[in-house]
Amino acid sequence: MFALKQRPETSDPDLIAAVLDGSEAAFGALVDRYQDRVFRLLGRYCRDAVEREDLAQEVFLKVFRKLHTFKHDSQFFTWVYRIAVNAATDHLSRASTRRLRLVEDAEVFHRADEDRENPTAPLEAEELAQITRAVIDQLPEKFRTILVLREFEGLSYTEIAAVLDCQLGTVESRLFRARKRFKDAMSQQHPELLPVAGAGRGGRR
Amino acid sequence: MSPSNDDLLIQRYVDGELSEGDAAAVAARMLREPALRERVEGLELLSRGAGGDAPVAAPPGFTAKVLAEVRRLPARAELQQLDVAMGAVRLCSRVLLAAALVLGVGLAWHAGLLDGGRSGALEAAPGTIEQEMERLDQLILQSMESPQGGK
Repeated sequence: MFALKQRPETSDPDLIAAVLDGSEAAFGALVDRYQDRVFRLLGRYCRDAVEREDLAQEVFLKVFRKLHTFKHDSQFFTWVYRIAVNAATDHLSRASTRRLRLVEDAEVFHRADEDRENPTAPLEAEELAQITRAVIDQLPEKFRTILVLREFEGLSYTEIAAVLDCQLGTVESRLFRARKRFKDAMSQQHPELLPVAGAGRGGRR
Repeated sequence: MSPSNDDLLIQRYVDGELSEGDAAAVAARMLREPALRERVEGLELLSRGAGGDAPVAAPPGFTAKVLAEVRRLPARAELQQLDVAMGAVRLCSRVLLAAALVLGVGLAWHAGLLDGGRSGALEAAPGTIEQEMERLDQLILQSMESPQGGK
C-alpha cells in the first residue's frame, strides 16, 4: 500500500543506533524513509500545505530529540505515528484551526452537493473521497484517528494498538463505534450513498 | 452501544484480520444471509471513500530542512540531560502539587469545612454554658463557706 523509500541495506534499528552515535546522515535516511507516510497521515488532519510541513518538521524534530527513549518493543514507524498523531491532535485542538476547518468542511459539502447534477449517477471516486473525508472530519478526535489509521493508512489492529498504546479489544470496539458514527452521519447527510437494502453486490475488498 | 460477536466478526472480515478459513466461512455465510452481506457492504462504503483520496507526499527538499533544524539542536548528550532535567522538574511539580493539595485539605479540615474536621465553634449552646458556669460558681462559693474551706 505504501511506497516507502527503500534502503534495504540498513534496517531501522541500525539507523537508530547510528543516529544515537551522532550520524546526521542516518537520521536523514530515516526522514527519507518515513516522510511520505508522515505527510500522508498529517494530511488527514491538516489541509494547509504550509501548516502541514511545519507539523511534519515538528514531528521529525521530536523524533530526533526523543530517539534515545525509543524502546524497540514496537516497530519504529508505529512510534513515529504516535508522535505524529499527538502532533496532529494538538494541532486540531487549537481553536482557530478548528474554526477554519469547519468552514472548509462546509465548503466541501456545498461543492459536492452542487456539482452533482444527477444524484442517482454513480459518484466519482474523488467526490466520494471528499464526502468521506468531510464526514470523518466531523467525528470526535478519537474516532477520527482510529478511522484514519485503519482506512487511510491501512494499519493492522496490532499496529493501531501500538500507535494508540491501547489493547486490541479497545481497538476493535472503538473502530466499531467509529464506523457506526460514520454511518449515522452519512445516513443523515448523504443517505443516497448508503447501500440499498436487498440490492447488495457482495464481495470482499 | 457494545458490538456483538457478529459485528466484530464482520469487521475483522472487512479489515482482513481473519484467517483464511474464518474468512471463507464468513464469505459462505454472506451467500446465504443477505442481511449479513448488506452489513459488510455498509462497512465497505467507508473503505471505498478512503481509497479514492488523493495521497499527500512530502515536498522536495524536506529532509534537508529537517536536518538544518536538527543542526540547531543541542548535542545528543545534552538532549538526554535535558530529558532527565525535565523529568525531575515534572516530578518536583507533581510533588509540589500533591503537597499543596494536602495543605489545602488540612487547612479546610482545620477550619471545619470538612465533615469531622476541627471546629472553632462552641460545642454547647450559649445558654447551657451560662448555666454550667453558674453551677461552678455556686460550688466554689459553697466550698469557701464550708468549715474546711474557711480556714
